[in-house]
Amino acid sequence: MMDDILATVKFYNDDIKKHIGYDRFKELVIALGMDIESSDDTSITIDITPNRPDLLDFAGLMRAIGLIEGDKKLREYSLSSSAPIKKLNVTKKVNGVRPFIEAFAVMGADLSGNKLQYLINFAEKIGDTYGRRRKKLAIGLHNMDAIKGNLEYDATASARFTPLDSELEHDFDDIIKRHPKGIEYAHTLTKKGNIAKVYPFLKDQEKILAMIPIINSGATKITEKTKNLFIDITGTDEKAIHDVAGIFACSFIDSGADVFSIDTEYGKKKAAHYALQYKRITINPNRVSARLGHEMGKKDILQLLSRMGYGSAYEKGKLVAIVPPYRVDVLNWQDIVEDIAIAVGYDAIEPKPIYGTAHGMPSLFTSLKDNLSYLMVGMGFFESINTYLTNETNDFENMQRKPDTDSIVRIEYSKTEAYSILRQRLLPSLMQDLGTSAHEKMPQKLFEIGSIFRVEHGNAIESTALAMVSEHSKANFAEIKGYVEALLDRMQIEYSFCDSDDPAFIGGRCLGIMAGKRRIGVFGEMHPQVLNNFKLEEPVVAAEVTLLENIDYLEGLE
Amino acid sequence: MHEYEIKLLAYLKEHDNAALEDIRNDLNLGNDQIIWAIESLAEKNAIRVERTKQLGCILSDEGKECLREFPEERFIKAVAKKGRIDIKECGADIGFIWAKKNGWISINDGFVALSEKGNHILSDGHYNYRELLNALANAKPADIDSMLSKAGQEADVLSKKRKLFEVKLYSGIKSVAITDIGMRLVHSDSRTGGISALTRDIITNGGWKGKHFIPYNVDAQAIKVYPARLHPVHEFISNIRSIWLRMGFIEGTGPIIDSAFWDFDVLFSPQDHPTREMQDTFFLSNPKEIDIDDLELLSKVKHMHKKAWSRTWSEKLAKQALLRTHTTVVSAHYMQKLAGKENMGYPMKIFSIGKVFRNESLDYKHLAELYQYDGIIVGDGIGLSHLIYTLKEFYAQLDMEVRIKPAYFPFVEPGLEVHYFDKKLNDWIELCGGGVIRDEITKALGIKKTVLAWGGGLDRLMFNRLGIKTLSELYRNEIDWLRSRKNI
Repeated sequence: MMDDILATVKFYNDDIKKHIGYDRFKELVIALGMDIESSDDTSITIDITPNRPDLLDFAGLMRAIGLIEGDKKLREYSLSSSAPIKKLNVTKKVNGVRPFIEAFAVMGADLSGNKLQYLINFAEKIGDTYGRRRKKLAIGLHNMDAIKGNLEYDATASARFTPLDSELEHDFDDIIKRHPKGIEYAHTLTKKGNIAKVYPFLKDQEKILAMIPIINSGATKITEKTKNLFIDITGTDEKAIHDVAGIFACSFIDSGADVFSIDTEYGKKKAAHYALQYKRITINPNRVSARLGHEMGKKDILQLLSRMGYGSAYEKGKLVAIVPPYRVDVLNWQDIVEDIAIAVGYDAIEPKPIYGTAHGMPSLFTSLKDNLSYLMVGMGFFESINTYLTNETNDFENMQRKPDTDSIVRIEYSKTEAYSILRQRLLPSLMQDLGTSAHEKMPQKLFEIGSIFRVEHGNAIESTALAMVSEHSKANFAEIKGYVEALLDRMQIEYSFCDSDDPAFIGGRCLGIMAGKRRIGVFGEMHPQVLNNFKLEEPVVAAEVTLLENIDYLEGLE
Repeated sequence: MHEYEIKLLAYLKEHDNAALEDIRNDLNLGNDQIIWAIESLAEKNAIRVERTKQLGCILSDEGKECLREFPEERFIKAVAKKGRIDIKECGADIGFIWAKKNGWISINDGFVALSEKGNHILSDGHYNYRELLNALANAKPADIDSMLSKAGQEADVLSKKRKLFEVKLYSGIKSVAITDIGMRLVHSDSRTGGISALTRDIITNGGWKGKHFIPYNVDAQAIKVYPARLHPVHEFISNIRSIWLRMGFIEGTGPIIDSAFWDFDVLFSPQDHPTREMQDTFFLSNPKEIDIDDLELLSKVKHMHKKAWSRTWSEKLAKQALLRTHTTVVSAHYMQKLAGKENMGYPMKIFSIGKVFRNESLDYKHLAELYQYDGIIVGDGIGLSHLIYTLKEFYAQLDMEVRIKPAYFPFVEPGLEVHYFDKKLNDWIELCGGGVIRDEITKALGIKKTVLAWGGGLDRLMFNRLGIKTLSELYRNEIDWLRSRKNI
């Protein structure tokens, strides 16, 4: 399971208190499945999960809170017709780079107080997260009163305009290369890694309104006093664009504004007219009860649905949930089940034991690891657990070993310089461990049992090995041979020793270990150059044995 | 200890509070040796000395010579040898003066010769002054007073006129007793017959019988012992394993290196999800891809994605090799293994614990490698309430009171998170996520039953229990820390 949050949003306590008591608000945020990242005397920061982009908006969050608390009633959401802007024309040139746009007009909006900031944040966050850093979709906000005539969504290789908060005109090319927003969002205009040679933009009868999805012009900047807005949503994913348009439209409708669909024409093709869409999903109360392990009837479900913002109806004797346009996450009945559980309250769902089950059973693999660990502890070795990620210097060079390059499991990109490969042997890590404790009391004896990795014929192979090191002034070959024999005897395998030319050890003071005809390990006195490499000042004897070659995981069911 | 001290202590052990006189009589040691031993042992607090104030006659250097021979005695011996001596040779000889005073000599015509009394003294050898001086020098302190008064004028002559001795009041030793320390000293010295180290001989031939054992200084600092131990992470994982095993779970294991298909696609994570970028996940450059052998599953997963997320779904992206980002991928593999196995003994409970990887910039609370545990219960007639019961039961065994809240994970519906309240941080901390696996996924994997699933990180729990400051301390393996760390 991986933590998954869409974004964090910050709202001011004073705004919240106009709707609901602050403590109750916090409880309901948790009950809705969100998390409170931090809160103080003036504001609260909330983690919003990826399934609920509608809650990034203050109005959207207060709607959900009001509904579940029973303070708000369900309402209808619909677009008004006869938009104050005639039409939006889309040229073919945008097809190769950013083909989709949906636009609407808002009349009578209220952006006073913190509402302007909330709206801008909402648009930015949706674009950065849900919109995948504006590539999938981005939102443009304009003061509609500053727009003249009809609009056109077009693309061009070169044009000039004055971006927001700038005094000079710049060429599109220049903006992409030098403007901070241009650099940040240049990736939205790439195709298979190359920057497209055309830049999408929006213009009215007189001027360029925006270089999309990079930056707007200052001419249509919105302020706290703006009442009428033009909103464009552009991108590469038509469905996502329409979903987000629905979220924005509902939010404005909730705040009391009128939202108008704008006719969009694709050249000579017929104008597309958008409407807010309600999904209808059949709910089977038995399946809901089974999924939750919590009995409930049709009547309970009806009431719970309305507290989560769903309408409901009976169609041919079946219960149907009507999903509001802003709930873009609802794919089918399962998503509604969660909302029903939220409305019930997770605390109110009585925990139920599961009866009729078999005995627990440890994995043979971990049992083997445990048994050998206890044996090593019995021989006075401390257990060490090292990272699987390492680098070639530590794993090979410091051991005087030459890697077979093709056999190394490599990471494509790591934020940590010390991590570039997966370890192929355990001993280098143990030597490094000794290096961190070079001045502690001797003797120092460490062992590790863990995974090692290599590539063979293009396949990744994971094996389990055991390694041990003993460092002190009198460490010698006889000591390590004694430990190795004790270990191998208890592993109950047929083994023999053979010559070894492993350069990590002193020649003539090391042996290879064979199990039948398979070479499974090596032991001996570490070479002084290796000791120098790991900054060790006392003799070290060491051994490494592969316990399980090419682990066949996923055991336990047979 | 010196031989004299041992002798004295051994004696005192048998003779409580011995008088100095008795010690002198009983021990074959000289007075000086005894006094030295007493003062030395007193300094070690091995004995307690009772001291008295008493009189004593302290002889001057001249007095000490007089014990053998007074000057007047020497003088008359010289006169007797020569017959007579010229008076001019006598001068101020003190012997001449006292011989004359005693009437031992006569002087005629300038020559000195012995008188009759002188001849008598010479042959007799008794000289009252010498005898008195000897008596006083050897007198018991207690007798001195009476002797002096008895001697009267004669004693005054010796002391005051001739300054041969002084009468002084000095501190003396009356008696000596052994202390506990002395007892221990006498016992701890094998020369007194105590047993030090037990030997095979002593044990087997009964040589210890009737002997005392020399006690050791039990307060002395011992040599530090560092018992070898398992790594705390191993110990903690064992604890967690044993809880799941007790709760009837089968332990599963799975590969570290897997495909994006299993890690993400099977679990309903959209292909354009941010965690699928190189910034968050360790993709491999060798091997670069892992083939998806199960073509039926591939097609079902593809369909599931296209329907829910996007019109495009890339098999190439799904084949990317990576280091697993969660152990839920192990649970997914086990779900597939259960496909079509209707008589396995349901509900089937499986857990796994293992490493997961995140491409993180390392700091005190972020590591690139973490431990997670994951579990699934596969069966009929189970739902969210059974999952809540199972998780509460698990955390109760770790002494943790938890809250359950809704949460979002793409592969479950409904989803939940388990939190506990950390008193130190004064905040709710996430322990694990879970939920009921979506039908889309169970169908694709070929399972007709309900699957409850959950997973959480172990490192945060260990962090709290071991009282360490940074997570990286867990895997630095410093021997000093491994030796002295707290129990987990």
